[in-house]
Amino acid sequence: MGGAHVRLLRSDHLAAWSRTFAIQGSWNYSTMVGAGIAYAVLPLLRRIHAGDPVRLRESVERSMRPFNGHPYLCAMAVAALGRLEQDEVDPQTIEKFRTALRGPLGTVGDRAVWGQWRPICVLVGTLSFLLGASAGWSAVAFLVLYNAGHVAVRVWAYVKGWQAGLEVGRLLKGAWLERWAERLWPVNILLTGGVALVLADVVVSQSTVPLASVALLGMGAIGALLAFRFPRQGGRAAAFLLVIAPLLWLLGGLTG
Amino acid sequence: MTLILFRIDERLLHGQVIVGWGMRLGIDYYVVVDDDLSTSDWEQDIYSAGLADRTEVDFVSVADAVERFQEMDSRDGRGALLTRGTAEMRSLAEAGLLSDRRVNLGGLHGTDCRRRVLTYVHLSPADEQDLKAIHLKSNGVTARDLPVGREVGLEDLVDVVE
Amino acid sequence: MSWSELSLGPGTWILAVLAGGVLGMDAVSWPQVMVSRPLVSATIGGWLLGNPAAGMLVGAVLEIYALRHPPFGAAKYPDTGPAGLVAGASYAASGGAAMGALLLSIAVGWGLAWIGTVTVHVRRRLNERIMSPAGVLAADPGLLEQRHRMAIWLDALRGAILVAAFLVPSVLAVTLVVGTGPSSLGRYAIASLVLGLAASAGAAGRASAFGVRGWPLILVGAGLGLLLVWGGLT
Repeated sequence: MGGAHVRLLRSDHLAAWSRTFAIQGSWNYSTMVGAGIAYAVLPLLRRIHAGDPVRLRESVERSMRPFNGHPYLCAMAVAALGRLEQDEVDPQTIEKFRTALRGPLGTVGDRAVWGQWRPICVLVGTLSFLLGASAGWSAVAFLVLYNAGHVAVRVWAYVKGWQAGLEVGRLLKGAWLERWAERLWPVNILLTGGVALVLADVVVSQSTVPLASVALLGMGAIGALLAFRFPRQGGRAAAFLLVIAPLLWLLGGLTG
Repeated sequence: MTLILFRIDERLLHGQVIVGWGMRLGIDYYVVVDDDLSTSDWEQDIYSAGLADRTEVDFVSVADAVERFQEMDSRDGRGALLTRGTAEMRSLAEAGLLSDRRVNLGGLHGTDCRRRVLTYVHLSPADEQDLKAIHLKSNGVTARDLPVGREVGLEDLVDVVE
Repeated sequence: MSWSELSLGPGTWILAVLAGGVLGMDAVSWPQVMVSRPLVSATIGGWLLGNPAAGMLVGAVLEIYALRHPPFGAAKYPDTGPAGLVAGASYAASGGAAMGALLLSIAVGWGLAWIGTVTVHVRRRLNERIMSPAGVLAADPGLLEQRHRMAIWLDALRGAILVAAFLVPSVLAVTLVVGTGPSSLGRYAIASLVLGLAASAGAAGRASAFGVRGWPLILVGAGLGLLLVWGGLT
């Protein structure tokens, strides 16, 4: 029994989809998210290979092999792999499919979610706080905004993965996530510059220490541009300045 | 010389490459050197799915890469050449194409016959031989997963002096 | 502030440690809803010590720093969940007004975030053992599920341990050492933080830019921020 004749229940899909939230739970350097994929796809495999422990073991073993990808878009891999198992696609093709898919799932997700959506939501939440909203509301606003996109991506990924199976490549190419990522990056940079400046002003205005603000503004602008051009060195300089700030304060306190 | 990144990474076109390196270096086109992929349309569809519309990609066999290297290295914009393993890059090096280029080792994951040398680099004895050969025929091999990551010289990964 | 005025009692400490477990787990293991971002975790820390706004101010600065470290692939990135909580709680405990306490809380948060990164690395290595041998786990899917869940709980334990170990020392350091008035080197200390923010924003902007284009936007954004400041909207 099993394979193409099996009809999966809505509850099987719901169980697999909900497990994708824990897909990185056992992330490791050898198989990366491989075991997580197996964990998430298990409710589907158990139904597909019910009564056939040998094929279940073989399919779980395949699912556990090295895989990586953006955790939200891994829902697409889980659904597509379940679909291929149900359609009794040969193991060699499944392995090639897995190997190929870990690239774009990482790229699209990293660029759209980690690269754009999350920073934008974080910056919107931060800006709302700096503009006077309460801390609690700002945190909730960030979480609601961010997770509306987060859950939408997981649902879309799972549904499309199941529908497309082997054809997910064509579906991912030029998908809405990609288009949005390309449109949003200027907004992201604008917000980064704006929030950093307002935040710096809030910090400075909380102090009773006089600062030459025009000179500081000019130095900040030059520093930001240099760090944009040389991000590695800029990031290191930023970390150094962060650590040196309290040391200077303490030193000043000790020396009077 | 418009190919500015030569990378060995079995994941080929994935997040670290396209987002981490590609966005940082402003890569306009990719050349993937792989015999199997050069003849498989559906796999090419999946591998290239993560690229932005304006970014071009060519999947070429090792033989084609050697033959067309000058053309691929003189296109408009900035390019990156990727191989899935060390053997393909060694073929390019031994064809004399990498004599003034540095090769980036970006990701080879664990298998039964590979030992871990970095969290993202696992090498078999054959990989080590390939890397030594590339090192001799190029401007050097260094491992680095991302532009912000630490660069590790080949001499710290394997003994390059025979 | 004196020892007797510290608001960190055993009940608050236990709550903070439990929250640290949730925050430690959220970033990677489950459910990735981003309560582990410093904007939220530091606010939770501040709230536990009675001043969520103080926590969020620390979290906002840590966010600008964290933005330049997107977790692409297996890259190392600051583990800001437990660290944000500790930093936010520390500043809130100091009263949320002293500049020296703010500066130290931020630095402590950033340092602890990178200590957290080391623990994430250790956990990833440990997971290799937990999830092997693959053949045995594949033959017993129930065992696979059990091990996977165990790995998630270990991540929670990791976050809880970080908070348990660092909360009290951090709160004590911030409140008792620098919860005081202005320093003679104060202007340089604040300028250092402001320039650090600027550099971090520049590097973060580059992390999200598509290529080297877009550099003027960071200045345009700062200009818009300046208009908000001059317009009295902050």
